[in-house]
Amino acid sequence: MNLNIALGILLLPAASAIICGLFGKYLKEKTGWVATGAMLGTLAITAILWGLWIVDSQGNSGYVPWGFEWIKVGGFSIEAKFWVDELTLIMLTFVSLVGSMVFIYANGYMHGDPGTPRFFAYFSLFATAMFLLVLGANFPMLFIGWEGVGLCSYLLIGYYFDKDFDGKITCADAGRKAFITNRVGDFGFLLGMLFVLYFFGTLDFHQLFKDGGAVAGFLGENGTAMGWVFTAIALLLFIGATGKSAQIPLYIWLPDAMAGPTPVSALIHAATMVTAGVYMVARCNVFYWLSPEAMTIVAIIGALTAFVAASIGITQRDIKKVLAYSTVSQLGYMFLACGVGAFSVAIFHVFTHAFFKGCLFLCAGSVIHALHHEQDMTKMGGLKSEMPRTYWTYLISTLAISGIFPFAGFFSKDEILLNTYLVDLNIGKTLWLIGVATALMTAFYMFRSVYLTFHGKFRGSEEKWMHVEESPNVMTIPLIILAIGATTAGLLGLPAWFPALPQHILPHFLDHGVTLQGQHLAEQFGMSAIERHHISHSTELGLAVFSLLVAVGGWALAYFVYAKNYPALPEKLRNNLRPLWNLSWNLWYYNMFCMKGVCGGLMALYRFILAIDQHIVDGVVNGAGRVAQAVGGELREMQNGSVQAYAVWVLVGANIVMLFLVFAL
Amino acid sequence: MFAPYLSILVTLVFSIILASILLILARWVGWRSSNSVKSLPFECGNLPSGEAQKVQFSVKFYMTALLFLIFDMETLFVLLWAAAFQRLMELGLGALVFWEMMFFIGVLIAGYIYVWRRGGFEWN
Amino acid sequence: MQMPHIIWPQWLPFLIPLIGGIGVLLFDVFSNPESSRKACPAGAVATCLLALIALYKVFADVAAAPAYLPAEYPVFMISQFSRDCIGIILLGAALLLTLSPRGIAGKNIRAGEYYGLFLLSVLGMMLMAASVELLTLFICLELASLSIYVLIGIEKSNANSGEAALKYFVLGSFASAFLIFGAAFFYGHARTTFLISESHQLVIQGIAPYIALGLILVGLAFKLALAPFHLYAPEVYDGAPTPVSALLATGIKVAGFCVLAQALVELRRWDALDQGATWALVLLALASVIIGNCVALVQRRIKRLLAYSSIAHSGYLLLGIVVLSDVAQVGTPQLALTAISVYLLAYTLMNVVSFGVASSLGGRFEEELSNYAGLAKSHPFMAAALTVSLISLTGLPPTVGFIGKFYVFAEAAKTSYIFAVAVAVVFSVLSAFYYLNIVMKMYMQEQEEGAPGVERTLACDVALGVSMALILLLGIAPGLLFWMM
Repeated sequence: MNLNIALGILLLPAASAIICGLFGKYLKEKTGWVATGAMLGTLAITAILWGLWIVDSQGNSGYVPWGFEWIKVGGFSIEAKFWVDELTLIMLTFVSLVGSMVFIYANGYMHGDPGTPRFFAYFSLFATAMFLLVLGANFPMLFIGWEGVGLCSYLLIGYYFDKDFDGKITCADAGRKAFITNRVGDFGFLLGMLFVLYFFGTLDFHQLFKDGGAVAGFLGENGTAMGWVFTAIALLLFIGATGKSAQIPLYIWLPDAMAGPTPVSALIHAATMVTAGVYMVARCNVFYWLSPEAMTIVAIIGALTAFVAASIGITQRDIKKVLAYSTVSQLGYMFLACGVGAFSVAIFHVFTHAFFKGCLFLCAGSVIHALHHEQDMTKMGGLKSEMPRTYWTYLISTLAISGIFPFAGFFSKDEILLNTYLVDLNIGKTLWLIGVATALMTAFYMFRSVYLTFHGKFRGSEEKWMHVEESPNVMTIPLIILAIGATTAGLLGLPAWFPALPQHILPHFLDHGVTLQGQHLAEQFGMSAIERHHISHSTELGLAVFSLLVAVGGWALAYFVYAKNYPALPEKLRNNLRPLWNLSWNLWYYNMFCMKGVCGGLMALYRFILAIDQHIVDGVVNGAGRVAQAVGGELREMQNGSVQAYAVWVLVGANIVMLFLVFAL
Repeated sequence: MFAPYLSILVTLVFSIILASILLILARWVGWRSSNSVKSLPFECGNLPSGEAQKVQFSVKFYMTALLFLIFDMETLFVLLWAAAFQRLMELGLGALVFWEMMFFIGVLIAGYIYVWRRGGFEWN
Repeated sequence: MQMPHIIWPQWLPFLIPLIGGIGVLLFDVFSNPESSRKACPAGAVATCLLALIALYKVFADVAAAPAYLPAEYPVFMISQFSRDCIGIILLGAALLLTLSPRGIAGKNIRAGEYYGLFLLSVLGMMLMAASVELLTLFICLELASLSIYVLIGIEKSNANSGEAALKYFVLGSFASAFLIFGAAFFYGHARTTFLISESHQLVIQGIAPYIALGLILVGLAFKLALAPFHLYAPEVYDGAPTPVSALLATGIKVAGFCVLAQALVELRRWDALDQGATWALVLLALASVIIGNCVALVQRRIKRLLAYSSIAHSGYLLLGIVVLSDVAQVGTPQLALTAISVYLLAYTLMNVVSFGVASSLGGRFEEELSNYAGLAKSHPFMAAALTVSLISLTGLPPTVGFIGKFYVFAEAAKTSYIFAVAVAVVFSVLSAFYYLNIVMKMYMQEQEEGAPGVERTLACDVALGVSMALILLLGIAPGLLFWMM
């Protein structure tokens, strides 16, 4: 048995997508179990891969043996090849695990929806694309997966294409917005890819980044003189990442992406797809290590996104939008980690985040399901007694995301803040402060959502209350499993001050294989890379306690405002802090700027081009067509049916040919 | 450069000239008349009667002629082959040429069987 | 007498169609018409597939060094390129034979004759593609042509069919005369009839060999339906039974291009070409592209339109051939040969589908284009297949037609005749108009009232489905092409 088994990870969901797509008419809701089975299969294969990894004493990463030349043009070829290493394994693990849970859950959630086969076909297709993205051994493969998840995301956001989303836009519009915004990012990504090809001559990750690979060769040849190349590539790729992972300035699509069914939000827009940008940046960490400028920009964008998104989350009423902004905010943390050189910690946060954010979304789905598509938190309340499983899992995940000890989020987020604190940058401490402020807000708005949804009295209609009941097991069991993950995933990255247990398992695992490649290269060729200070374990512990206190502070504040003094105090606060509240409620007016400024400008440009197209280009095209048609009409006369005439034409042709050949005109 | 082709050209030119001279001479010297008897089909001095008026051969003759031609060609090939075989063997082409002929005859036999089964030899 | 020592397996790919063809003919006369109507097509398809497998088994490693047949007197050469061409001919033939039962149904045609002659004609094309000696080339061409003359007129009760056969016969003989005349000239000068030979070098001096090459080129150009030798094509394609038209459009052209390409590679090797030869080819290519596309615009009958489209495609292909003869070209011709074989495969597949849809639907669908209105509603599968092939003919991704055109144009753009590529690209854009016009008819327009339905057969669906899948698959993953070849 060899790594070829990894191909099963691609083939199973692909087969499921085909089956659900083609035979959906006959299978109806059974398609759900086909898709779930395929997903569980990928989970099993991932487990086998881990087994192989551990058994293989070498513990080496490598290509999947099977592969073929996909496109060949002259000397340049693109190969359909796949690659397995530490980063791939970690990604596969949480994608297949969280994915399986969401697939199981979706069977309950989509029950009774006539479009179920279509849903599962898209969902399986999404899984295929995501695995392709993770397994791809080169940029083009990653890009196909990247575009593939984008496409599926578009299809699934617009799943209820005949419905309105939030009064302002339809679900189909929301899908389009996501797609177009992503295209802007993809443009940067594509350009970055071309830069890589131009300067390094290969698109294969291993060929690029390995010891003595293309990048090392380039450095050896040019030394530090061509540093701008790395900055350019790193920033172009990062533009791609801001699109897919919803960072400033391209984050606007993610909150609208909540128009899709909730399992979609959970899997695609929280746990997996949006982390593709982080994955890509971690995969290409070499380019970032070699360009401290690019890394600083990544860190700043990350921190700002985290802060802005958290501040918006405070005032939102739609439970899914709160979670959406919290996702944007958490993704900001991940990029902050990348920016300060802690790529492995970023992936660690991706890993823990997948569990608690997946769980939060599924809980929200459970609530929405119970309330018949009510998403406004001001019309909820008191659901704790009716929906205990949903409540407890939601609470656990909230504790995790807020960074309360000993839940998973505490360890990963604390590690990010620690690395930010230690980084040797002028603005390092500022970034750390922004991070801490974000942590405070996160705890506040997450507990706000807990209190509004599950505590107090029910504020919706009497009739709705009558129908509230706990979701079926098929939905709650995945919740429980994910909540267990949200509780324990932190064990994989215990901090240095933690006694007794092995520390930093996951980050060290990644650092060993992938995420420090760039640092080694930078050291080898004497490039300046971002560095970090060292401090004692007790200071680390002090910082951890501080951030725990901050989180608890946010929790206490939320309890005081939304549990003790609801609804009087929130009302009063809103009136007294009107400008701040407006800023948050209106999404910092950024959306409006995009719609009016960017879109308006584009529309004007579009009208201008349309005019040119209609009057000049069309005229030329139609004219050419008419000329050709007239010529054809004339030439048709040659075809008069007479064999003698044809023979004469053959003679004419022969004479012309001879003329050229003999007299070599 | 065209020396090898010169003889061909001479023959060609000569034959064209000869044919032209003969035709022109005949036209110039000859005496022509046209009458109804002359345009009648000739049948041993008698007036044509019955079927022969249309002057058509039965299409069956066509079939026979075709078959004749084919076997005629075979004879031609086999004859030349037999005559040249000794020399070809000396050139080391014996086996090749032998099997080629066997092949040729085999294909011809297959055609023969086909014609026979399709009723090519039945007069009615 | 020495024992014969011919290496039999090497002949196997050619023996199989010969035995299959004669076998089908004989089977027909020894059994009743009903059973031969069923068994003959099955046998013919099996023969082609068997030959295809044998071809790739026997000549698995010709990439390193070409195989010469027979060893004592090597009139055939199987190089990687000619092997792939023969493979393409066989693949196309197998698909067309699968489509044939429906294509000739309801016509007064004897199954044995049709399938037997079809196989013999395919054999002629295969041998023609492999032949490197002029007399052999002539005989193989005649084997292919004579069988096809009969096949075109095989529907005795159809006057159009007979007229087409006669026209093609007369003009074909005329063109063959050029070929044999050229061969005579060639022999007169070079004292050999071998175009390509392992053992001796071609010496080309003076004008005579160029006259010879010119005459041979004219003879081939007629079979390739290059303008201005194309005039027979629309009428013959229109009159012949549709699968036979498709064979005319694909098999014989593949064989002809194979001969042309191999001959040019050899002549280039001995520096025997000058600018004039290349210009002649460029001119033929441009004439074909321009005439083919322009006249196709004003056609109203499907098979005539496809005939003109095939003329245009011959022009595109000839641009690939131009690369081989370009004097300024440096390096090995391998890339251009690969491009040409990819294009030939694409061309064969898409013509099989477009002619195949017409033949599978039959009747009025083999005539006026206007009958295709609303086809998407009544026969969605057929409409989809035709759409895929038309998109491929236009040369749009994600189809193999795009890949083929891209490779050929990319190669041709490396020569100094880039203006010819520019013209070809412009006219290939123009071709979208008449190809997509059919697509629009099928999907946007309503069917006429009271048009009778057409019964579908499994064989047709399979053949069309396989071709369509190949068109798309190879268009999406062209790497598979190199993996297979």
